Amino acid sequence: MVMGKNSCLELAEKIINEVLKAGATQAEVRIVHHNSYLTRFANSYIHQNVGEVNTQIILRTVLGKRISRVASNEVNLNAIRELVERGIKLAKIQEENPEFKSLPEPEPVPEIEELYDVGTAECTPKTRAEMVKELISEAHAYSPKVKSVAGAFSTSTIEVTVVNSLGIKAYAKATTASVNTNVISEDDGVEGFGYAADISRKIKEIDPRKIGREAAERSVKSLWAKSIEPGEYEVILEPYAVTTAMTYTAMNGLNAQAVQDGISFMLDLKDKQAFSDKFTLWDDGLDLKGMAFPFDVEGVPKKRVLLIENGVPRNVVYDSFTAHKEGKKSTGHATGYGPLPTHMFIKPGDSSIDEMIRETKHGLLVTRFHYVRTVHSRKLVLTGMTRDGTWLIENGEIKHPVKNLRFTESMLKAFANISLIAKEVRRVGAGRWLGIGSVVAPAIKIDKFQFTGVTTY
Amino acid sequence: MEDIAKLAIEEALKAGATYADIRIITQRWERIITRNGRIRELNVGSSRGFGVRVIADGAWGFASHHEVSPNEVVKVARRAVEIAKASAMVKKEDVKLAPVKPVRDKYETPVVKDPFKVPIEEKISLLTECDKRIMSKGELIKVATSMMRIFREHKVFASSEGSYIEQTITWCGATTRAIAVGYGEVQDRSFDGRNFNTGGYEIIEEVYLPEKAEEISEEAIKLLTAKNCPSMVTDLIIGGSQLALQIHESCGHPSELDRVLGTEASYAGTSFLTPDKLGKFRYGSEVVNLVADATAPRGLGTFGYDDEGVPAQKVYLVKKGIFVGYLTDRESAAKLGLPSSTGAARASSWNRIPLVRMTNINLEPGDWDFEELIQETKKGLYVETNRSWSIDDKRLNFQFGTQIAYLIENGEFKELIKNATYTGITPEFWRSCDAVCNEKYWRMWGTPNCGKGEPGQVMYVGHGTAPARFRNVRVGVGRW
Repeated sequence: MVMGKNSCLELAEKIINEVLKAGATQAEVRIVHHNSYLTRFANSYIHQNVGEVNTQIILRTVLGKRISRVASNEVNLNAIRELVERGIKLAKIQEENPEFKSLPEPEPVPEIEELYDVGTAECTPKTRAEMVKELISEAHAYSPKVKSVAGAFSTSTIEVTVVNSLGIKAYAKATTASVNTNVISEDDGVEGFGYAADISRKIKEIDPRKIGREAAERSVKSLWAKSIEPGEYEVILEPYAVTTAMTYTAMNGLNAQAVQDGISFMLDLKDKQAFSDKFTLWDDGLDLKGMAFPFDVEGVPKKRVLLIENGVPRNVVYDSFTAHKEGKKSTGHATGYGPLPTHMFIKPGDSSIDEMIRETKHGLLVTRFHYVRTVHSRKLVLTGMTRDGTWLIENGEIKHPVKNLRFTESMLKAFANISLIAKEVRRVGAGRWLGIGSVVAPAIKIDKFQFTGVTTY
Repeated sequence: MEDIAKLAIEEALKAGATYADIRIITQRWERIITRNGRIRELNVGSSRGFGVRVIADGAWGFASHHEVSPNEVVKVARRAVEIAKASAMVKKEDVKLAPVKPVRDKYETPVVKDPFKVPIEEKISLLTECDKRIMSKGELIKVATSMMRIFREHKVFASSEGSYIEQTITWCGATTRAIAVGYGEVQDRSFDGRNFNTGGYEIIEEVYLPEKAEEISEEAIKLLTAKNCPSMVTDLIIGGSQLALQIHESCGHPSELDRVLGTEASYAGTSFLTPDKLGKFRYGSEVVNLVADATAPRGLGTFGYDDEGVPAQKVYLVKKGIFVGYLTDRESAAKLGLPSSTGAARASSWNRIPLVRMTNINLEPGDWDFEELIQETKKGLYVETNRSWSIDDKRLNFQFGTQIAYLIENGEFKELIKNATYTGITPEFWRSCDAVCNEKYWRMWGTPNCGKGEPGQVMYVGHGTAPARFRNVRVGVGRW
């Protein structure tokens, strides 16, 4: 059930009028209404199956240079009146923040009709269960060694409305269908693991059988993993692993907040040939190849930002606060928690994974990273584990699966050592920003990558 | 409220449920963040709604809505049953629940000073004072930021088995952080990401945060020119706050029985603590006693009843080093054939189902004085306050980074060390624990941001710890 553009905008404008009447000099309201359903499975059956309808109202009240943020999920006259009063009261008690200049000015927001798919919005619990059943059956059909299938299948509809007193009136609705699965296989008491995922605005673009098969294949091929010594290896990262690396690069370095805080590598490497010239990265929230969304949480339209150009770090993304601090305009990347690139794309290369394997003398093929964390932000040192399929490559051939390894490596060094990029890309869901963000990533080959530990499976 | 609860349950049973419960929840929060002496975020909010959980055709269904009205309750209860019937299309066996005695009861966190009644100006003033003291230490300080969180949850639980429980949980805490930049280095220090407890504003007033702010600011500056953590195998003494996260990751999560049984396989992972190890596996040394204690005063995991109406309990997970117990909900307890749940089913809000979560996972105090422990350490490293944390999906291989460390030589603190990291394999690590400090050094820490499940849930959990020593640990991981 959607609220609809007119009723969302009417409600938002009403709140803005109320808060201006109460004395605010500027105001912004964001209304997020969503219907979300998620069917979760494990041990090859559905074990959790949930649904949610919620409407959140987030009001920013500005009194000169004093700002408050109040939130509620009650949509009735009394609750809204109370929200407005609370916003004014909290703004009043503050000291002025001279760094605050203004809420953003209006700019034309593109309408992207393709974001909403009726089939996804109207998906029933029965359809989700049927799709899960197909995924599980396909995974088991791949091999009798497949022991259990776990994962989640979700469908959701989100409506986002942002209105501010300077004239911003942004509204968009979008649907998301997403699936992920982890297949565990077993042979003579030994386990193998495989993963696959897909995401789209349109449920009909999700093929549960394909995802089940992909994960099952990885899982069975990862059986009988051997332990290898940690150390420096060449590495081929599949798009899932690349996505995680890019997300952490974005959080630590590719946003104006990190630069202004002094923790971003941009302060050391901007406009320098820091990385392999094969590496180009940009953010484009309007490109439908990603999980596009037309504007950010401040209602500012998404702008394409070139982050890394042929190995040269160029730009970061801004929200209105960080932009105004530097006399710039927001790039449309406000998240409510500082600016972030949420729709990244890596320029594809001309290689294939098979070619990358052939070009590898002593290396590892990594499906996915797990539990990645930042060890040192400015040096962009990350640590994490491999997961769900890692293989040793020797002299251009996959030798055998290996037990999971821990890496501790500076991505700055890793990006400098990119030697090949795949021509095929994959859209991988990343983060929850007004529904969902994404990275459109190819596989990449890095010539030197430090692994610092191993685990027992 | 009881009428609404009754209506939901009746409607669910009418639609074909064999079990139904409803949780009606109102959450209130204040989140204040200051940055360099000015308010960066003043976020005051509330969330209200209800969730109906049912078993129909032997499978689970759950639906939730933000509008608490008879009209929506009826629709949502029916939707939950419809979802459960869809789940039943892909089931292996009917859901069974470990028994629980129905109760009518109330529980409320003991609060001395209601944190929502303390004027917000006073809270802001405390935080800006922290920032100012941090910044007063000179130009190398790039960022001073402080944060206060105050949270209250009122929840009603009612089930078709006859329980009706009302609870009000209140927790709060405040932290302050300095980031120093200079000499080609960035270093951060904070007090303390784990400074959260259930209770009232008295929790925040117990520690005079501005004094801590000055200390951490000076430390952040000193760390800029400190020696990098050497790469070596050495004895490691872990301070209380860092040890809280070590326990969280390497004991708390692997003891969650739903993970063990595979239901988190696709997301957070599984666990090395498989049922065949229960009662016989040597998890740690003789001095390692770990409990899940939902009755412990001040813990973020302290309550009267869990979100299935199971009473709060104290349960040993590891006793004298042997792995002896799990965190469970009613379903996982039944699967393992346990007589009852250990009462660890918790949901982050009205729109999420209860999952097996940590309560307060505490390391029981040992008998060492901290000073004595340092004196008795010939060569080692003392580490404190977490910076980074990572562990594999069966909770074996971990690596932690800390904000500050000191070399210990011949029983004394020596050089200040930056960028300290340590790594290990969970049971090997806990088996190397040979000393735990006594009650004098034991305190309850809080982790208000524990993530689990799909859709994601962020839960607040507690960890009581005292500093402890681990022998022959690998520190200074990686070259960078």
